[in-house]
Amino acid sequence: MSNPRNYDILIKLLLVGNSGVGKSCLLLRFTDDSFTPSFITTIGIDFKIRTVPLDGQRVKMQIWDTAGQERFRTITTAYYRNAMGILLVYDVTDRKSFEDIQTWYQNVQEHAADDVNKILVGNKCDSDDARVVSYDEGKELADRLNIPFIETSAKSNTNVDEAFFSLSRQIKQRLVDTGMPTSTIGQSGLNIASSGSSSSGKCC
Amino acid sequence: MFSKIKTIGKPNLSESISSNYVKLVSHCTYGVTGTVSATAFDPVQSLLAVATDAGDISVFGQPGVEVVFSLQKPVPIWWTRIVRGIYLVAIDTLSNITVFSLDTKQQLSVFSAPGKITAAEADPALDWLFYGLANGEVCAYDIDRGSPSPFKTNNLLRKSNAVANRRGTSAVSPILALKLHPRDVSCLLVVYAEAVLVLSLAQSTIIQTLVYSVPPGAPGGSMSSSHTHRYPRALDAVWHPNGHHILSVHDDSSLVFWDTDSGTLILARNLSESNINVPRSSVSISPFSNSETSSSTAIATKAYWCSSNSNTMDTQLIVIGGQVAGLALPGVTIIDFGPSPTISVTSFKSMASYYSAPKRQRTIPSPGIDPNSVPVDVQIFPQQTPHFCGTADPNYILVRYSSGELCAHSFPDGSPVNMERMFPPSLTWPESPISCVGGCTVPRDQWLGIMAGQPHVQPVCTGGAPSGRKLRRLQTRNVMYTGHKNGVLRFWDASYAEIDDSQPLRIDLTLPLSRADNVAVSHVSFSGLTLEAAVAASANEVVLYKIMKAKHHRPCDPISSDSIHMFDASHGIDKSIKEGFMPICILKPAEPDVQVSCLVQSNIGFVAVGYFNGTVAIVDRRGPAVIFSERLAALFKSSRIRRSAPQAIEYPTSLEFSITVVNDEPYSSIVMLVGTSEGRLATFRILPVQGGGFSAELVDEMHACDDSIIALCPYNSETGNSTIATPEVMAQLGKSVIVPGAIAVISGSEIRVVKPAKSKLSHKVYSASGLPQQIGGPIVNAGLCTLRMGGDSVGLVCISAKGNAALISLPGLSTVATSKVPESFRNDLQYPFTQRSSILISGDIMIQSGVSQGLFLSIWNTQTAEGVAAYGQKGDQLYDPLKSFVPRPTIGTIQWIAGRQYISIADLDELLGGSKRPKSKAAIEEQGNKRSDGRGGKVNAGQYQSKKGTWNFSNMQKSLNESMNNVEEQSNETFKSIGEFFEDQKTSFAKGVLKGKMGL
Repeated sequence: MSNPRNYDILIKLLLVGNSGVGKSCLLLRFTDDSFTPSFITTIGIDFKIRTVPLDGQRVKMQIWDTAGQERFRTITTAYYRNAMGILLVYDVTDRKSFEDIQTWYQNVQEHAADDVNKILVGNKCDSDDARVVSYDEGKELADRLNIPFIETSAKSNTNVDEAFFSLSRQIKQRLVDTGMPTSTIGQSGLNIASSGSSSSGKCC
Repeated sequence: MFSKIKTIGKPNLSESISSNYVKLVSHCTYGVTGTVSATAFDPVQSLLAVATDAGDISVFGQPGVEVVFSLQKPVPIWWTRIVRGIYLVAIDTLSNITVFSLDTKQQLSVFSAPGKITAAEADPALDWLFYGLANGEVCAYDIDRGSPSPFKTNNLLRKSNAVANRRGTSAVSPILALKLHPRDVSCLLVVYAEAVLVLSLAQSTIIQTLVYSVPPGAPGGSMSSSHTHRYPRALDAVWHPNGHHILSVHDDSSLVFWDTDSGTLILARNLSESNINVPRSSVSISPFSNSETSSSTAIATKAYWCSSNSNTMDTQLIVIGGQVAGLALPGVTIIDFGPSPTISVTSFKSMASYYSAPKRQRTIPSPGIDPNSVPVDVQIFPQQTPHFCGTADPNYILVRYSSGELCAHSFPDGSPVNMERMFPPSLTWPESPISCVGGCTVPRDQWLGIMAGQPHVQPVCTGGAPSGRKLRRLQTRNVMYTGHKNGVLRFWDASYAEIDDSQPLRIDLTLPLSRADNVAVSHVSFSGLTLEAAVAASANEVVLYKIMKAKHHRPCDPISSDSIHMFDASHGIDKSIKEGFMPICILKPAEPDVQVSCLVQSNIGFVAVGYFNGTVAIVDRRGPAVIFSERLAALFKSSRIRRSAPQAIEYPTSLEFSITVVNDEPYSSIVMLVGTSEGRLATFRILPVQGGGFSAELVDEMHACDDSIIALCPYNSETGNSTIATPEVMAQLGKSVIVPGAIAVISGSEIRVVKPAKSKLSHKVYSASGLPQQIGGPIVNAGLCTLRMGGDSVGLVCISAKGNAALISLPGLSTVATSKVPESFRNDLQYPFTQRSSILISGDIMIQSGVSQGLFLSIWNTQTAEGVAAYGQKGDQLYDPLKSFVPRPTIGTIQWIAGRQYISIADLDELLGGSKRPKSKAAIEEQGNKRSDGRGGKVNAGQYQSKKGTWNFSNMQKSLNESMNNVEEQSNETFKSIGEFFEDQKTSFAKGVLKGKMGL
């Protein structure tokens, strides 16, 4: 068989946040470009792949969507350490989900790799009537945590791709900057053609 | 020996109970004996077989249908199947094959295999059981005739050059799995660790040898960087539901897709990556992979290839274990590939990209399962056809874990299913280890009212027909509860054999407690009058529930005390329930790591909780508010510490609320009785306070027994009725109602009757040679029972851990009678499970007999309703001859054109049975004779006749269908053989009908 890989970089992302903030909907919009208004609690871990061209390279994104319910938390935290980027999602119409971002952030700090990239995502920004968390509040929190911030809507397809792309760009940038340490590239490896020089010598 | 009775001038309340009335009789058993070790499901008959390591197979049908088959010796069963809807086949760990008839419920045959059986395969349409031995041989057994087949292969690996040439291949390799082709009965997949072979039974040749290897530089399923050539050992292999592809599962978690006809490797992947067998230039070592691949939890061990929507080209894969990015997963993963491209016009490359980019992939962990346990097996519940590998269009799957625990999920979305709604009640017992069992009584109207509000759900099993049972008439419903380690608590109508509606009520502690571990239900108390329950988790929380409609539920603002904190629990509502148990509030002691020692939910709105640090707390649910929380040591004047354990803290062991006269006062009071670990009885009075609400104060305390108190039974000293507080009596308190009271205080070897608060009436101490010898050990539970309401027929029933019971008279404390558990159940009762029991006022006793089994007994011989078949006895019908069997699918035209030989079931029978195989007709007749013998001549001749006719006819129709489907594909020779077969069938049918008419 010829070169089987149709991508240059593999990026592993994880969605976290309270139950019902729309993590699964964001993922569904990003990978399948579809939306379902009915609420189905994620049980366990969903896994999706999307390969996109990003700044001239083909990036394969492996995205894990975790269950937000607290009773699954011990299981889902096991996934943190292998993620290269984490989307911390809250619902702009649910203040508790916004307040709990602090807890999720601590969880991430505790269980994920030290250099993991993060982004704060305020979802459901289409529902202006029900909004209880303003853009400024979100921005302020993101600044305090020193991570980027974006408001999205999976329903109206606002900024969904941007949220994933922006996080992927950061990761890509970090990989290039740090010369791709083995711990973050993990088993993904890179394309023979594009990455031969940058990764050589890092392999033990 | 020491015993003393104080003679007293009180009436004997047990006068009319004769020892003849006392005899332990069993009403039913619940659950399964032992640990679940194998399962099988037949969608046509809609029967589920559950085998255990105790050598029992329970077969479940529609609600109320349960038949238990037992092996001759209690040997663990590791494999079971239902074949042709009528045979139940089991293989035990001693490699004995046992065949039962689901029709006559008799054992048909037993066969000891000529070696250790390591794999087995039976097809729902075939008479043949294929089994693989540890020495690598494949043999067959004739299930229908009960004899081994002359067919046998040697170790096939020896024939295979591809494997034989490899270094390090052992000459003797056990067979790990056998799978029949879903469309071609002559094609068998044989899995050895070294290679997966496709065997043609017709030609006795190996058609394909599939060897998976990972070249240097390729990551393999374990994503490791190795510069050696590796041969990951195969663990399992499955057919695509259409048979054109094969998936093999390897010990490095590789999932390898092969083309059946050419043997081409289409794709090798694991759960997260594709093309893992292709060398990569810069594979770096994953920091997680090396350490974890070695553990057995990390590797994929088994797979099931399902198809959905009756379309065998729209498939899903269920993988047990496996590794995602270096993570060990304790659950199963469902990979939904979505509709497949047309195989015949799709290149292998396109197929590879189809298999590498599934529509959806979901890993479903099971938070409540023992963390050391791994999933070992998945039972798939196809909706219609048993064919296509038994995985066609399922709506549920049942995952079995190594600990024997079960977890049901809907399919393909994987959402957990409340087992009690879909599955037979007995199957919920092994779902998760039982941590708490008990019972209580609920007024009949009250219970029926609750049940009317429960949604009706179509159960998974609908087969069989329950035998008629004589119903017991009770004014109150016995409600049994089973609490599990995973935090689930169910309330059943305890005599579910009585009624069709067996829907239980459910409480899930994980919801209000927001966690999945340390949620085992440790104590339960339920008031059937107020429909309120208090449930303690093994950690230290107590959750208060009330049965109500979800729309009436409101968050509350509980009032805590210093030592007991109370929180609103409205976040823990199960949103799927419209009416049922709603969590109200959660109690948590301020001191950490203090567990609940005892608990009671009264009928008058108070809850009392005892903790192991000596604290007693009372909650008034009309608030809710903690109205009392004190340590016993701080209240008692004298400390009573046993010499043997001077450091021990005295803690409450038994609690009860009563309304009774205290200290000869001219009125009655609400009292809370506390029995302690040091044998002390403390009486608290509950008084209304100004401005509403209640407070509690200690009236008095006394030394009642020398040992820990296990039960408190307050009763009316004149009528013998129980004086446990009820709303009716409470309402009469304003009218100064007088309830003359007495309390029977019971410890392991002592009973004392006390008049509140501290007048001793009578006392009895049992030495080891007294009552404990008669009932086989110290008393573990006791309760008040009445033979008939309102008469002088009250007794105290004491039971031992062996399940034996004694009836003690009141207040004289003489032993009226003792009775042992019925002979047939004695072996089932296992200590320490038998310590969990409840004794109801009606004389009914619920006792946990084993790890996942319960027994429902009655102390009254008079209630032995003859004809009440014990649940699980062989009265129920299982096999329904009128359910027509679905013919087995055959190969398609294209496959036939491509050169695949068509082998009919009859051809296979001839191939495997040889020339000496007895005629099928003869076997049916023989079976028919046996059947009529077995039924003692009670067989309805007409019924039998029609049954025989149907069987023959369906056989004929089946072969006709098969033949018609393939007519265009047949060569002249095959036409000839069909003609012969058809003629033969016609003759046998005609003969069968003729004989049937003649009543032969």
